[in-house]
Amino acid sequence: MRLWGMARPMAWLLLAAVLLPVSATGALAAADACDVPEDLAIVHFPADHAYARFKARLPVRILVLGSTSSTGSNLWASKGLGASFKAYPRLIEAALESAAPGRSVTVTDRTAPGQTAALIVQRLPALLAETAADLVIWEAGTTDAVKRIDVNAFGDTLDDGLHFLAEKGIDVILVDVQYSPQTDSLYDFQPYLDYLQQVAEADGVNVLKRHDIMRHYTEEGRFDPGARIPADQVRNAGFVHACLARRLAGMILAAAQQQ
Amino acid sequence: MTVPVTKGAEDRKPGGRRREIRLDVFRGLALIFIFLDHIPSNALNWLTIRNFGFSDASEAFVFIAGYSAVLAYGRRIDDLGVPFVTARIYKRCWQLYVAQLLLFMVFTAQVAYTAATFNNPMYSEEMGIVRFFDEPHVTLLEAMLLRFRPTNMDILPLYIVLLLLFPFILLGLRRWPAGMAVLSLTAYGAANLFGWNLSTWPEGAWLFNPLAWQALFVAGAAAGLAHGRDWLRPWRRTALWLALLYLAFAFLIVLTWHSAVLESYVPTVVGTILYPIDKTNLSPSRLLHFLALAYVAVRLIPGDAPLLSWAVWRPVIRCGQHPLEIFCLGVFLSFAGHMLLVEWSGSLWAQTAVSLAGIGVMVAAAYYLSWYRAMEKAVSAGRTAKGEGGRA
Repeated sequence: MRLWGMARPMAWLLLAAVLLPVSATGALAAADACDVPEDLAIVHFPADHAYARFKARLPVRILVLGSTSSTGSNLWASKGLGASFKAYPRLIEAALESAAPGRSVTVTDRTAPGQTAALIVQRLPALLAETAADLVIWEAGTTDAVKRIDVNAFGDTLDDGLHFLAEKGIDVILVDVQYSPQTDSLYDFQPYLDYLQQVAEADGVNVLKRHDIMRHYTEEGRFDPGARIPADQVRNAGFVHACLARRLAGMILAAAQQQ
Repeated sequence: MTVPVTKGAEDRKPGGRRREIRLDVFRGLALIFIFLDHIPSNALNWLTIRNFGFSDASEAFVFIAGYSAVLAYGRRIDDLGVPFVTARIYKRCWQLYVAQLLLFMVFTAQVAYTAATFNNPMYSEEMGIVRFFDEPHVTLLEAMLLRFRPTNMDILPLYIVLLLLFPFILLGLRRWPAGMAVLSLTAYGAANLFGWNLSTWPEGAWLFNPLAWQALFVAGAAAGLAHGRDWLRPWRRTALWLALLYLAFAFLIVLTWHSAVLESYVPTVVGTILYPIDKTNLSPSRLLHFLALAYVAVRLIPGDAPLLSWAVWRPVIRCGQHPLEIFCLGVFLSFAGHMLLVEWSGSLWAQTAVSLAGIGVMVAAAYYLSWYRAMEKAVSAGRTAKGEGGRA
């Protein structure tokens, strides 16, 4: 919880946006709506297991865990819009295929409502036995913050889970909580975000900084979390989830190339 | 001697000590910082102390609460007697409790409003808070028991528990100061070592663990009893330098939180010792940071420092003189202010306007409360002087 109480560094982000313009690594990247500042896109740690699987030309089996903040709800389906929205777990395969043709993944989505870190850690052995996952994408923090689980307990549980996965040689990417000004006014997510970041660094696990990325999109006007018309909501959610899937695919490839 | 700005604001009996104006300044600042910090995504809360070190305005609030509880209740315990002073303290607890329930109503209204207007299925997990109101009888009961505690509603329950204990703390500090210190530090140590804490509903534990945070409150009370005595005198030079060094260290560490590049310069061993900086159990790094900050502030700004009479402090002092009212108002204003930012505009200008307007309302309310208190006092003084027949 090292950053506990630190102001959301919007001013820092602005400063970073000025001082560290995203270096356009290609003509395509310059105009990409999914772009984020460089410090939100750092891949620190290698993914040895995924590397071995890719090298052996085998698909990487991905298990997605977490709450429904990763998958959305089926409320749009009742309005006839369900089919037009795909949450990021369902987009990773395609994103990876387009980023690195020939490297395949299979994704199993086991997100569910109300999944605290403790519930997930409890289910981990069974889920791993069932899916034989090579890589776990673990969305953590949302339900713990909503239920106001003690942040130290949350951090300890997360740490236990990461150790368990590390012992099995399974790669992990953590995904932190979503951003919207509305939900940020109901909860104080910051301690959970900070703790997750700190545990991830200590345990050598990459983090998809969803909260900061979504905040960046919101501030840039690319994403409107407060959209009220269902069609707008679906379009906004679709944009964010497509970007998250692409970023995850990029992270997996980058991590699997590091040695 | 009466400092002009405090005139008529607080009772200081003739012959009593000069009002400690710095308490009001720092408490006023803490209240304003708490208001700013409670507005998420507010660029102005970048200016508050939590961005310059480990501790934040909560520490100042709790320490000053202990300090001023001694000034308010401790000094007259000999002539008023323990039972009456205890009754006074418990009357204050009741006021705090009522205030907490009032804030709960504000929060409930905010949840209802958000649920009605923010209907984005993308956030169905986050909006799970609405389910708390599926069973209002349970939720209301738990709120009344101070066990259901939405965001930003944690500090008053801590304050209530601390004030409930205050008669014992006061007696302990007066009769057996060493024993009280040992007891307080033991409880603090137990909270940190064993994680003992009170539970909340439906899950979780107190964000401000009373077992840990009492240490700061007791330290504040002890400082209040030692008011005016410079007990660190033999080591004052060393203490000041150590405090400044620690503040500089904390500032440098905090800087690294904003930059992945700077962060890589922090040696792993420092990180291992330092992190996590726990707010729930008031980790020693936070406690030390606040004590260092308080010591430096008190040493560098003496009670008669000319800068304290600057006009800019007058509104701050006014806020500091009505902590409970202004705190509650600040929590309400931070809700309202954030709602404005969400619904109207989140631009830097809007953030600045909302923050300044909020501070303006707090200050106006503080002046109003001071005026009202002074009038009440004048009226009752007149009544006493003229007997029952004198009507003002």
